[in-house]
Amino acid sequence: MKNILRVALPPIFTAMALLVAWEIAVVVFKPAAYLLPSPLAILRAANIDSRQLLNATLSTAISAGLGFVIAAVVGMVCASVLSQSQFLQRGLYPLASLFQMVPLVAIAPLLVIWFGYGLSATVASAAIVAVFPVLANTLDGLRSTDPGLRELFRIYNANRFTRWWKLELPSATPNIVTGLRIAAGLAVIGTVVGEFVSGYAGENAPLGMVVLASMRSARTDLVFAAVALSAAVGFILFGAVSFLGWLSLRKWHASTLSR
Amino acid sequence: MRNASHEAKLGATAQGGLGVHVRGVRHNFNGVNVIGHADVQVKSGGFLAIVGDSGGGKTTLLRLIGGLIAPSSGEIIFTAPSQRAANESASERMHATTAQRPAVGTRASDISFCFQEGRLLPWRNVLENVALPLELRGTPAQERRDAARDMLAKMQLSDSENKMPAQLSGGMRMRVAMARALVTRPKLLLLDEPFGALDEVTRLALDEELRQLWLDTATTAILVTHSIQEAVSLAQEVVVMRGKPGRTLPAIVIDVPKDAAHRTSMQFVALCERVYQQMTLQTHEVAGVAR
Ligand SMILES: Nc1ncnc2c1ncn2[C@@H]1O[C@H](COP(=O)(O)OP(=O)(O)OP(=O)(O)O)[C@@H](O)[C@H]1O
Ligand SMILES: [Mg+2]
Repeated sequence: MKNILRVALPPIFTAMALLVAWEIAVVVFKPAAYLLPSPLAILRAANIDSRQLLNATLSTAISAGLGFVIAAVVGMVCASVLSQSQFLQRGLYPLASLFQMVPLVAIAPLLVIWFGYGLSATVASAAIVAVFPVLANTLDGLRSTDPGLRELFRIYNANRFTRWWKLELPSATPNIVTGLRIAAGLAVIGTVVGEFVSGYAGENAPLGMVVLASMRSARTDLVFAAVALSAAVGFILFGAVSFLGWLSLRKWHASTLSR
Repeated sequence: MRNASHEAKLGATAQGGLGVHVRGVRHNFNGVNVIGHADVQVKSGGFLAIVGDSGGGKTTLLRLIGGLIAPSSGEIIFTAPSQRAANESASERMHATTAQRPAVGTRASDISFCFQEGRLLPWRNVLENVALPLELRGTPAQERRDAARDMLAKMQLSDSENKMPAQLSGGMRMRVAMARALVTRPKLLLLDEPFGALDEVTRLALDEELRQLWLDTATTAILVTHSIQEAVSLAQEVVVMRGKPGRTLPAIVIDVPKDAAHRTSMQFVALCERVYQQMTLQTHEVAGVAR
């Protein structure tokens, strides 16, 4: 508990200080509301439109969550398959890295063409950006298994599957956790980018749409509220993944041992 | 140079330890000659120690005996005391260039390794680490846990079965590794500097435990060590390996009684002296002695 406070207090304190400074600056310099609303004004606006914002947040969170899960599964499975074959690795990994360089914004319209307007396109968009860090980190971890332990498994005549399941995968856990943490943040970014182009509106309009619509009607306070909420979605997803990672590593990995 | 061959003659129902005969083995790694000539023999249930220069090929020799790699030439013959000729599995086609991928089929499950670094799985607790060899063999969960607990009790580790490797001291870690090597009741135990990284006091205690286990289990043991005293106090024969490429010198028979006080006896000191002399021979003298 004391540890959690020691870690959590400084950033919370800094954030509060920044918000207060921002509030004071707005009161003193009085910029136009559509340029820079004050934190309290944003809070008030968010409160008035809370229903819409909550729905939007939920919608974005679902899309980011689904995209993240798909990326996690696909990334780990692909890395596991690639790790078993030098040939596949040489053939496919460079392509995967190249594919990673294609800007998401540029292919997002394609996703809409393929998946139609709505949830599937934003989920696909989230999964696409999030998959590569999972793939790359998992592959790295699988390949860097201690050769001494590999030899040990060879001595005991373990087959490929056993070696993967009981040796390579557990020893890659720290890398997998790293990959998943990066993916958690990216999934939210991917979702919002997807929402910008997929433009699904109505009752469950996601945060990306709220940003666009509020911008068009010069409701900068709502833009800020939506941006803050999407950051919160990313933060919660990241926190959950980090916690699960900590749980799976706490007993044995150096990063979590206190000694 | 003759064709590479690695013969394994193993008796499936053999009692006691395997006899090992390394005959005229030579080994190259990617064309570099690492072992020039190795002749080593241990009888069933015997205890052999190998000492020698760093980089002299001791670990390589152990890996050859364990079937992890196949010799470039020469042969390694296993004999079971109760059974003469049994299934013969040869890996005639193994060459030095392919030796990095060892012939899985020729390896006998009767052979256990114990490595200097312990090689424990850091994500498994002590009990699960010790049970690993049985788990990989498909032994039922309860049975393998019982066997592992038995072994841990012998190594005085019963209190630590739920600890993770990171929570163990160096000596404890080695005892766990030893328990894991012994849990399969091997007929041949290959030990590669198992206590090299430990302090003298712990080392003496573990030496004694190892000797007791060897007496209890009737397994054949081959120990690679840097310590002449350890070699002389544990083994029935000591083989010195010298030079680059490494060659084995004729075995020195250790005929001192293995009681607690023997390390200070005149006989013991004299034997250590003999081993030491072989270890400090000049290179040209080595060639003379080895042939
Ligand atoms: N897999 C390998 N590939 C290529 N060369 C190797 C390999 N393993 C060992 N060698 C070389 O073979 C030689 C003997 O190595 P080995 O590990 O058998 O020595 P050692 O007697 O066990 O030494 P030490 O006492 O330091 O452990 C060394 O020169 C080493 O560089
Ligand atoms: Mg060595």
